[in-house]
Amino acid sequence: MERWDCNVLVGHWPFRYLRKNTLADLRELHKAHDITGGIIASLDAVFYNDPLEGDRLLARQLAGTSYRLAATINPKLPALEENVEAAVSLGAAAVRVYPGIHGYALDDEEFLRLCGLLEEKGLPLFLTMRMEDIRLEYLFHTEPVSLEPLENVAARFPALRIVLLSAFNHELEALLPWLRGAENVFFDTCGLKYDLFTVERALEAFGKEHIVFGSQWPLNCFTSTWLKVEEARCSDEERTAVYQNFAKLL
Amino acid sequence: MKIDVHAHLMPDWHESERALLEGAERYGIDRYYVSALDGTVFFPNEEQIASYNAAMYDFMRREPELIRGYCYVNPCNRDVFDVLRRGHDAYGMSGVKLWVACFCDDPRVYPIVEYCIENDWPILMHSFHKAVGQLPYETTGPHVAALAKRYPEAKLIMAHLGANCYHGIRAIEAYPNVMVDCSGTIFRRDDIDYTVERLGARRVMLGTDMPSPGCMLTNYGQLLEAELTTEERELIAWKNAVRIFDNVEE
Repeated sequence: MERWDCNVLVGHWPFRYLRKNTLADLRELHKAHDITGGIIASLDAVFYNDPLEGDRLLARQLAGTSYRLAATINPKLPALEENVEAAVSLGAAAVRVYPGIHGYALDDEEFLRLCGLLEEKGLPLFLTMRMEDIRLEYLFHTEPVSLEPLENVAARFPALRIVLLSAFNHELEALLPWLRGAENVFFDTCGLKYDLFTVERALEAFGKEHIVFGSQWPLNCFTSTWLKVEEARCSDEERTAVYQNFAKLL
Repeated sequence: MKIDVHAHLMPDWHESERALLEGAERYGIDRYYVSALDGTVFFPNEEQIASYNAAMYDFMRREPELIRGYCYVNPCNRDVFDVLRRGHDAYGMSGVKLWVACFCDDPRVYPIVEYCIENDWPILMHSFHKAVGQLPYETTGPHVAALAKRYPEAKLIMAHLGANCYHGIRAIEAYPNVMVDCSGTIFRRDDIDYTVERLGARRVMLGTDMPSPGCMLTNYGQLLEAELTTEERELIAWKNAVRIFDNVEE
């Protein structure tokens, strides 16, 4: 049975030393937890002035593995169409964006243009709500991502699959009830960190169709999120869906 | 075995009691050290403190094997010694909890520390350095270090690894009478590794901030994923707590 982690990264984070941050480290960890594949982004590319430089290096590493690339695009940079084409040519399974770091809102003109291009290409949009808890920021401040425009984005681009990465439970609950009925919007598991029994509560609130397993390793502890899914009091069908909903994105 | 040295009762008391009991059953928690407080009341008055500690004692009486209580103290109140004596003599509590009414190295805390030294009570201090939203009297690592330097005989516990462990742990590293707990919703992959490298495993204890906002799986997951020996993991999971609270070396 395929079980994927849709939110992982490899590379360096400028603010602290990461003891485990390579593809080899990730594969060892995933193997120990029966995770068979994933969608990986380059940590380095987040801060590169041309993110494609980081994506090319990572794409080479992923060749021949069960892992797929999430290409990094900053829609505020020039050559947006070319960058989307480059993501396609690298075999990317998704495009990952960082609005809080790169400085734009979800109703930004270039961001919406990116959404249109990805919808045309059939590539999902992985929307990073946060890389680390804002309370821990060192030297560099990121802006919170407002999800207020998201309903309009999802409606305007109905064929674009949107995955919210590292969204907190209360941020998702604020999107009820429309998110429950939005067939093209998903969220991952690593932001479900506040309070107890959060995965089963998310299953109850949103249904099993919207949740994909994502850990945001190596910044986050993989095992913390994995335990919450494994220990959730839900049906086997629901738990399996969490690990296998990635297939809807590909 | 798992001993959680940092859990809470919050209003609604019975709801949080139920959550802690369910957490113990589902996650295999053998003992909790709990303080009762209202997370919306930063400067509780004498009546509020009395009611919180009475609620804590009520839970302790009904669950003597599982629940041990901290005596929650507001050092700014005038009846501090009445609160301490009631907590120690009448309620049989296990230590003192300090939150955000004043910094932990405020001179009004000194008599509390001296009482705790005389009675061999550990002191759990909320310690949370934030890049945003720091409360006016919210203790951080340097405050704990100042108190530890003044009172080397005191058993001090810096909660949450100081939140940003790179800030908190470095501050208290030189003070062997400061233990730390790993409780809270921050679950970076490297936090426990970093803390053990700097302090050694004998100074780290498992805490969760359950039932809100924390979860055992978050922090226990970090303990499992950190690069530790089995002995180090056991020290953190329960043996250090037995040594600090019961004066028993397992």
